[in-house]
Amino acid sequence: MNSVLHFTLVILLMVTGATIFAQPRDIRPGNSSISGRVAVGDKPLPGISISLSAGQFGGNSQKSMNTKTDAAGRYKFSGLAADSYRLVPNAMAYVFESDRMSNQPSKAVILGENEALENIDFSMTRGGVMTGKITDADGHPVIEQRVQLEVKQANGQKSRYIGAMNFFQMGVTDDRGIYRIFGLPAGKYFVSVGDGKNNGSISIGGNSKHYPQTFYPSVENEADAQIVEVTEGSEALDINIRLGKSKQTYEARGRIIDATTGQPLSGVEFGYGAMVKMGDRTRLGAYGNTGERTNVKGEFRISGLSSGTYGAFLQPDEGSEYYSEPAIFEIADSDFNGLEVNAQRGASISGVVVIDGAVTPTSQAQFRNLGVFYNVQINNASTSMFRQPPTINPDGTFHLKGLQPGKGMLGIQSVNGNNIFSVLRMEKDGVDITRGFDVTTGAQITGVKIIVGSGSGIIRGQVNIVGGTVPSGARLGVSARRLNSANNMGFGGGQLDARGRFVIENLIPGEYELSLNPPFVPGQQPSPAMMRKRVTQNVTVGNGEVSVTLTMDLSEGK
Amino acid sequence: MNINRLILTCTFLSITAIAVAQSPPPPPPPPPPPAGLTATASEGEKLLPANAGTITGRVLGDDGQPYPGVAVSINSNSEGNRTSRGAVADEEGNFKFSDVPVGLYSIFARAPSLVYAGGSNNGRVRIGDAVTITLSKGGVITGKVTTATGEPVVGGSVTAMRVGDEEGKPLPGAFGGRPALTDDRGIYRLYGLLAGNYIVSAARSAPFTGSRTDNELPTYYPAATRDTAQEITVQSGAEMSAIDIRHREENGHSVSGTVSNVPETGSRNGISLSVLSAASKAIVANSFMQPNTPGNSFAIYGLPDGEYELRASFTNFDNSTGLNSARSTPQKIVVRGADVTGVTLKLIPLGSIRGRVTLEKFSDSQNTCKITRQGFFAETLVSLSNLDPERQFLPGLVAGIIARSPDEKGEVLFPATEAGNYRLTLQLPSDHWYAKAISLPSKTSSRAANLDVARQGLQVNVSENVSGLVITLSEGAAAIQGILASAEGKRTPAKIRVHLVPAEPQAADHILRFYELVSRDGKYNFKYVAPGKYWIFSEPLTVAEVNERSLRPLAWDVNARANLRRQAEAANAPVELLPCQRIQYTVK
Repeated sequence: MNSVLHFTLVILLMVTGATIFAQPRDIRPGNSSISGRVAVGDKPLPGISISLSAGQFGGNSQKSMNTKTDAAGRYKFSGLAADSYRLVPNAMAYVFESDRMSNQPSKAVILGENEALENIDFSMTRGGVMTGKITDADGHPVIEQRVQLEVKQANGQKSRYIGAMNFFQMGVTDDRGIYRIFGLPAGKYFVSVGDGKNNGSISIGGNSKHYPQTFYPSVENEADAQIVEVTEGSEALDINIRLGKSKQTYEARGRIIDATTGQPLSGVEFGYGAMVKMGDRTRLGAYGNTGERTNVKGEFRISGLSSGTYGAFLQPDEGSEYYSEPAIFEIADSDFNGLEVNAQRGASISGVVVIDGAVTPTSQAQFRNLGVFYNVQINNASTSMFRQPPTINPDGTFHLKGLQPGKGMLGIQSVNGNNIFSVLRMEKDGVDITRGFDVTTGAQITGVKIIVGSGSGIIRGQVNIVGGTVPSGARLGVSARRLNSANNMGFGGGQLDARGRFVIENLIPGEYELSLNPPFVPGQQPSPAMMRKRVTQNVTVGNGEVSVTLTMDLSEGK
Repeated sequence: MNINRLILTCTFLSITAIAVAQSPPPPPPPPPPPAGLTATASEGEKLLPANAGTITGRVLGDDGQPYPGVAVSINSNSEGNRTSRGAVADEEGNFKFSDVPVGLYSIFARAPSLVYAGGSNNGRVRIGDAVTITLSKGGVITGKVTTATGEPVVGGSVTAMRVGDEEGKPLPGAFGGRPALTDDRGIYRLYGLLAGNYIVSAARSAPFTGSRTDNELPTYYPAATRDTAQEITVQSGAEMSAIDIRHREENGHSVSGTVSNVPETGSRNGISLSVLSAASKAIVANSFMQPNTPGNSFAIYGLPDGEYELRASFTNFDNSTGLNSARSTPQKIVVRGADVTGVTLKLIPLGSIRGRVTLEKFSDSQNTCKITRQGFFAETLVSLSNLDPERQFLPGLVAGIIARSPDEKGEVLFPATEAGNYRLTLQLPSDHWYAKAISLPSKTSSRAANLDVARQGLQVNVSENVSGLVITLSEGAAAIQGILASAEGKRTPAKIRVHLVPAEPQAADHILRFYELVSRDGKYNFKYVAPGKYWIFSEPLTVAEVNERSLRPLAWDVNARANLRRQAEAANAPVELLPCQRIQYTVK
């Protein structure tokens, strides 16, 4: 369909490797319960809505249960089966410690059988409020601009405050230019509006005003930014910012040609993105496309570009035989003409994905959501192909076209993010190609077999911390990696629940290395000393449950 | 996950376009351009432009001052043309799209808090047009949401549904716009609202946090249910404050069941579900079933007691055309004090209609034709109206109409058509053209017998793929314009319908030769008229017709057509239009 073509988007390059997501599921009936209290200090918070969803990451809100706190601030969920759950209080004006980064703070709980789990309490503080008005150089209100907050950490580092900032209109100015951010944790904030420099974000569709990043109190130089201190339950008023002149935007025009024949490629989709510096290399950061295609002469144009470095590329759609590397161009203070994107006819790979072992109705349903993606290593950097992997056919077969040659590697992912499979091995004509294989220019590779598995093994564990306490706001994570597996890919893990418990599911029988990673505060680099506190343990997993206790010693010098 | 397209909900404001180039004949001057958006052909592009050209325009405030910085975009709605462009109005309010391929484009201005001053939403432009977009400040509704005990509702969502237009006419099939979040004080602010009548509802759950899972009902202003909601009239640009809502904290019920007959592609794309009020056809709830949901089961929460129609539909995004999409027939459900379970919605593949526009040349031996601008097939708009009353309120459709533009060769495709009785209407790009015939010839179409589509309409069966529709246009169109005599002296009814009825007996059922328009200013102007003999007459619109949103041509109905001919004959005002003739005529 071609009607919806306007959007702003920020995309990060996909992470390669298998990531496992706990599968959202129904809440099953049982004999266990979870209860607790929501309070601000000693004062109970009645009428707070709490939702509970099953699965370690919750996620599927369609399958949640809801309750509200009573006059004493108490809540209770009864009749639950032993499982992992996530509790999400809807209390946006309040702050409490969440065990994961999300715009909805929450707590994970792993519940046993016939267990009446009590005291899963939420200790809240009234969040701070920041409000002000954003105006342009002429003093007119700037409407629907997003205000950005950075928190100054104790160690002096700055980290982007996410909280509920991506939550719909939170932090976005209204028709009067006024914004109001609430539920803010106490802290020191830098407040700004506008586009940062080379942060890799991009506004696709490009037809809105761009302002240079301007900090409170109306300064463009970051060093002149003034800290806004927010304390518990307080209101920081009149945090007003007057922006500089909006940035001029420019247009880039070019064409896409078949690099071999020099012929223009008409009717092909194109995408573009911002180039970001990663160390000494420049690579594509966020990118996207408008759904527009090249005209009969292979020409395209990209409008709404403010000054910066960009890359434009052929956006292969399903079945496209071409690929291209981004053609890099620089916009300074004028339009860019004559950009040429060289597209190459790519290689193709076809094969089949098969499940090793028993097929359950669940695995059958999830199997249909699998897609096969292709990554290629060029100059030791992995490049994805700017596209959503096509899902496999119902019989497991797949066919990928337009692939860039190089050291290729295949992977699987699920279109709905619930991948319960991991790759056991990949082969072609009996040769193991799990760790990648050479894809030559225009090669037509057939007969690839991807063997995937999904097990019923579970590692259940308890983490004990000795010799210190986990810093406020820090999280602990556990991960399991299958040893001696062909691909050595990471195989899932999770965060610890409110009691320091964890559970890792869907494991194929085998030998695993379990790692307890040291506490980290999101947005901060852990110290090398802290990094060394990582705890590992090898675990043999069968088709049932394995119980493990991990102990981390946080005392100095360890 | 590699997300290619993330669509942020923006306040895209639809702009009306009167995209057809004006061809002003000699005095009297043409009627003043309608407020809002006007288009005139620029000098250099009056005759056949190249296969690409320029669309220019200006964004003005309702005070006539330029509005700089407004983002304007154009989008093609044709299969063969996916052009989508954005531009930002400069300091003088000017914007320009150059190298635009020939086609018909929807034009939008993105201007949060502003609204299009005219208020219509079928704006279309083409190359050579110079458009003026007039924006004015939108209305505001603001207030506070509290619980039954008077505590602020924090992080809730408030939605305003426009149930009546600026004249108070009801808007059936209305659905709420973008919700606003209530802040820590329970305060919300909805802005950029078109003038009209609104009902405002508040939910205690936050907007866009996934599908609803609780059954709590939204409360309507001031503390009402949907049925007792108090309408709020927002005048143009006015701010309605203290629209405070006290939440009732009442629960409704859920409706659950399964979708059957899900095609393989459907399982990949997911299925959208909508619940409409059986009586008003207003959309009450929307839901989405994720791809490959086990058992294809769905549940929709929070419905108050009432009678509803439940529909499932899926649009096939696996190919670029949208072919092989499917929809269920509406399932009637009654919610009465309990959850409704076990509903089965069977998906039925949608059909398609393929056709082709052709043009008959007119040999202008007398050199009488004054062509102001040639047209392109790709600038034509072909609209299909489904007359089946059950299909008038399909989600995403206005009055059952789907509109597409052909490609440059004239090929046109409607990829996802319901069963029903269709009529076609055409918006032509050149006043040298008129519609001559619409047919399904048995030789070249999917039908066994010849069908005069213009006269009989097109009855499409469930899942039928119709091909070979021929839309015959011809050059040599005539035009007639003038004033309505009743406009002089005595008080003129607000709206008058003017009819041009073919006078030849053999044309009694030639529907394409029946022309009608509604005059609001005592003037009329028929263009794209087939040469021939006509009667012309006018009649005031009845109150019922004034309130009817989409007026269908009377000539579509056989009895109304016969009646029109009787009235026309009685009025006895014959006119004869020769090819390319431009006539001034005062209708008595």
